[in-house]
Amino acid sequence: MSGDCGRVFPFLALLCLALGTASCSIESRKRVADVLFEGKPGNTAEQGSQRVVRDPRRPPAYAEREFIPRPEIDPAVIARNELFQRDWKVFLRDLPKDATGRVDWVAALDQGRIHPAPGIEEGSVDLPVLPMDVVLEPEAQPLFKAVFPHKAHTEWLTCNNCHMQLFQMQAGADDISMASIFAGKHCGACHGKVAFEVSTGCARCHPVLAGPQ
Amino acid sequence: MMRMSKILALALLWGVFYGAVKAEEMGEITLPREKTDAGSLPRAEFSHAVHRIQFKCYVCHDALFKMQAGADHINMDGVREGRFCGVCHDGETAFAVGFNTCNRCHKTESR
Repeated sequence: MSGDCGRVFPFLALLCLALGTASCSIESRKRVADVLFEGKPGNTAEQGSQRVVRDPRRPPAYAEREFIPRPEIDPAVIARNELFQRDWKVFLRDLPKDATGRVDWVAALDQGRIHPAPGIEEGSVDLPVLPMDVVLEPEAQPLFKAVFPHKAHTEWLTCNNCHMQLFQMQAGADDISMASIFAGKHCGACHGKVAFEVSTGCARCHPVLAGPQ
Repeated sequence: MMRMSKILALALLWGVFYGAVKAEEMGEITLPREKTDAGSLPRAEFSHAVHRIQFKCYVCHDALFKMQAGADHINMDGVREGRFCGVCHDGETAFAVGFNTCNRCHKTESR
């Protein structure tokens, strides 16, 4: 019984003290509170609920800063940046392909899938296309008649890209053979390097091998 | 033994298929390096295919570049001065040459 009493006593004492304090006036309540808790030093009681407004020690950081509007970006610049960041490898995937799975550039141009510019400056004009086929027919083997289309070549290239370093300007003046082409001369200067593969593109030059159309 | 040959055949098939799918476009050039003190910087790669989409052959050939790989001694100093690739790669016609675009030509990972 005495043990229980000892446990309850501190709570009772605290309750009495709290009730006593609550019933006191403000001054005496403060004095009691100062004894129990560490009261605030100074004369906070006199100031009451009034707020003390002091001058700021330093000027505010943002108040006087002038508003700078975000500069308007030229849509042409945005378009140009998008073009610069474009992944052309992805674009290549959708272009028409030849037998080797590589891009068929002549078909891509004919189908209007690409529009390669004829110059760096805006408004550059395409060089004239020469619609002339050169037929090279070996007398002994008409099966291996080869047709060279100037049209498909001049859509990409200009005359002095091939003439006169690679080819004379006279049909039959050069001793063109498959051996020289495979050796990287004549047509082989481009075909097999940047233009379609020689070993898989037979029918593109030898129309008889392609069979009846 | 049968199983081994099966695995080999599958690997071969996969190789052929992968090779066909990953067929590299024609004219992907890795430019020759003339500097000996370039360290581990990868050699510059030029893709004809990517450039052909936008420009015809005669825009660059033969006035700007000869039609022979390695015939023009292309170097970064020249490119920065506005020669070689720098004719277009000046930030106006094409992306500018700078420290944020190195890896668009000097590719660290293979295609």
